[in-house]
Amino acid sequence: MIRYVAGVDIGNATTETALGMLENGNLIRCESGIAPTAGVKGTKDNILGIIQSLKDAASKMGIDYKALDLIRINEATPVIGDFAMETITETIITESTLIGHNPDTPGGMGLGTGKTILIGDLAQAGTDEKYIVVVPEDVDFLDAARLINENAEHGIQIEGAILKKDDGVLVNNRLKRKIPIVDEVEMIGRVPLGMPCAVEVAAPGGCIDLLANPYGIATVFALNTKETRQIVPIAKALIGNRSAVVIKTPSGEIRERRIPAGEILIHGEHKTYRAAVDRGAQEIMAVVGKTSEIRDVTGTTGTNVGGMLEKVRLEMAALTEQDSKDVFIRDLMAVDTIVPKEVQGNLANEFAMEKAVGIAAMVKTHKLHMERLARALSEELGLPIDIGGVEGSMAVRGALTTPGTDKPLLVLDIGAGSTDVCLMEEDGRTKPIHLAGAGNMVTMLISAELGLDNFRLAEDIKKYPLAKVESLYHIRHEDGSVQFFEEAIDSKLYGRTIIVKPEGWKAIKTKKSLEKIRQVRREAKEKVLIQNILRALKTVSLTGNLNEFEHVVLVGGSSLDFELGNMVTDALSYYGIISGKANIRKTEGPRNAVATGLLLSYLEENGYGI
Amino acid sequence: MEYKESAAPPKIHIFCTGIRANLPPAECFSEIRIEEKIESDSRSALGGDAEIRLAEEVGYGIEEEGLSYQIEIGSYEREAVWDASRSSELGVSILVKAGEITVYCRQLKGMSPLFQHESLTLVDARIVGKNAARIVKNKPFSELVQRI
Repeated sequence: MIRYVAGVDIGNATTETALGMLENGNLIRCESGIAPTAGVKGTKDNILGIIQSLKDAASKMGIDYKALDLIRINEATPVIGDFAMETITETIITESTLIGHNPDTPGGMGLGTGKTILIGDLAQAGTDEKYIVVVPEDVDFLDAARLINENAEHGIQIEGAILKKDDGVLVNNRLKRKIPIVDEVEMIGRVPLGMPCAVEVAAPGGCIDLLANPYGIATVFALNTKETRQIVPIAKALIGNRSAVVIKTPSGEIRERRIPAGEILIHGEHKTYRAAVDRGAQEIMAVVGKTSEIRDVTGTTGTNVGGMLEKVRLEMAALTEQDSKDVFIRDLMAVDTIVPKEVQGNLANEFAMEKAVGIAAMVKTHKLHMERLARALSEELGLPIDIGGVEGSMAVRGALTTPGTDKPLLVLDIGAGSTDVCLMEEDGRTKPIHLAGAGNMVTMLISAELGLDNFRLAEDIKKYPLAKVESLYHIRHEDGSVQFFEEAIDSKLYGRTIIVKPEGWKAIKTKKSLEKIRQVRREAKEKVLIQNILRALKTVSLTGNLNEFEHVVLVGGSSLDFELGNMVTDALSYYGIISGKANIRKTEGPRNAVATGLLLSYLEENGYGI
Repeated sequence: MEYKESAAPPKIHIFCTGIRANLPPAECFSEIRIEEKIESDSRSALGGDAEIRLAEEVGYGIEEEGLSYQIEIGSYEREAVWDASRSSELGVSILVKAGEITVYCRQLKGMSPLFQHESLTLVDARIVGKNAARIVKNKPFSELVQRI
């Protein structure tokens, strides 16, 4: 007699099916199905996705999904993750004193110092002082060049210029005596006049030298020690620019403010530890590391971190229909990062790189209401539904179908909100653990560090490789290989860095180079995912020595990431661990691990041969 | 081996079909030479100062991007300008004719232009010039500000 049994895994993103055909006590055929998960995991909304996924597998088998004899669904791990970003420093300029930006084409070269003066007021200027001219929008570049030349002939010392329009090169080409010119200064009206000012432009390919150095600024403006300390944030904000302007105003004040970011309280089994968010991720992670078993985590009320931790708690409470008092945060991950933030009081949309901490939290509650879902599904389909084992153990069973694996085996499932790890010992015992920090946190870091403010774009950057459109007929991929095309590439993409998505290219509109974007992407994965994998290994390890593990297998959708598999293999080979993407049932790649595990566990329990 | 920076960088040629009527000669960057080579009998078929102003703005755009240009004033057909883009050092040539700006570039196969714009403002004409220079620099193009 032929029987059909399906294992169904309801994940956060996809619902996967492993459908087995059983005959005479043996599994003779197995097919997979996949569909997007409908609704929040563990709710009745899931039924739609389950049916789609069953249909997919059944059609491959050539049967109707209603012909099934049994469906086994997983005991979903009640884990939810959330993340937040906390900026811990902020640069504030109370009076406009700095213009540090990178216009594409500044004019001239070198350093010029003098008093700021409007170009129209040059007639009143004296010959005993040096000047930096300020050119508003309504002055044409021809007039600007003529006025500067004429006044210079009359003995007025003009040492540099600040322009509103993108005319730097045009003005410079017409000057008899070349001066450094910074153009495209958005808020030219806010440049204080009659103040000591320095303009610096570096040669093509170079960076400004004096104004990005606190002692350089001190030399230019003859500052004392105390004043030099104050201008450090300016110098910091100007590092790497090709051109910059610094103006010294009498009451001008620039501060790097440390924002009170609150404290995280980590409640352990016996003791509560405190970690100040503004001390950075390392300190937080040190505290997390020394807490043997985290019972709960709270944050100072009224701060970002406090609010974020409460939000996670409330969401989970709503999902599981529990009181928020019964929901506990069981893990926390913090990552240091540097984010570009607009300088308050800026003149040309300058950014300063500020320190920030990214925080991810993970909540565990009692069971999700899988029984309820099972009952509803049973009524809908008229089939017996069975709830199988814990997600982690099922994943291990499924992962063991990968050729070349053996017990003891550690399975890593990096999801969107949490990193789930399960260890299967030689004797078959399993040990699941769940960690905060996963795919979404990587996306958040990419978005913040590149200053994108766009989660979907950051998600694409995370998932797909980059390329640069080098001509109208070819692109250069990030690995250096070149690809040519028959048709001309859209001129909107010309010269840009693009994301090579399977369904088409997407331009990233930023001045940041491909190399920089790639570096941020890889570092974000390294900081969150690789670090979390090492943390997971240390947690499940008995000796704390990672060399004790032999096989680490990646399963789940995020292991389809184009570079993560290699990054993990690379990082773990250091410890002599064999690691890589799973290949479930020799055919499915990293997908379908839990569904396959559910099917296998049914077969084992009921004495079928595999 | 040491390389010397080019003292006379290669130029982008702007072919302008128009004659100078009342407009004073442009205050061009000193290296720019304007050749006015017009047959006297074809004068009536040409545009006027408007074309020359457009051509000058295109030139300023090229100049701001750090490249040199040369405006040729005379009577030009598309084919000749397209040919010029094939044979020029930088592979880019521009035609300003009857209020229309057309940018040809050697990269493109066939005779189709890279950009072709009608009735542009002077601001946009300068952006077209910048974009023409950016083909050479392999930089992303800027979008035009005001299209009419």
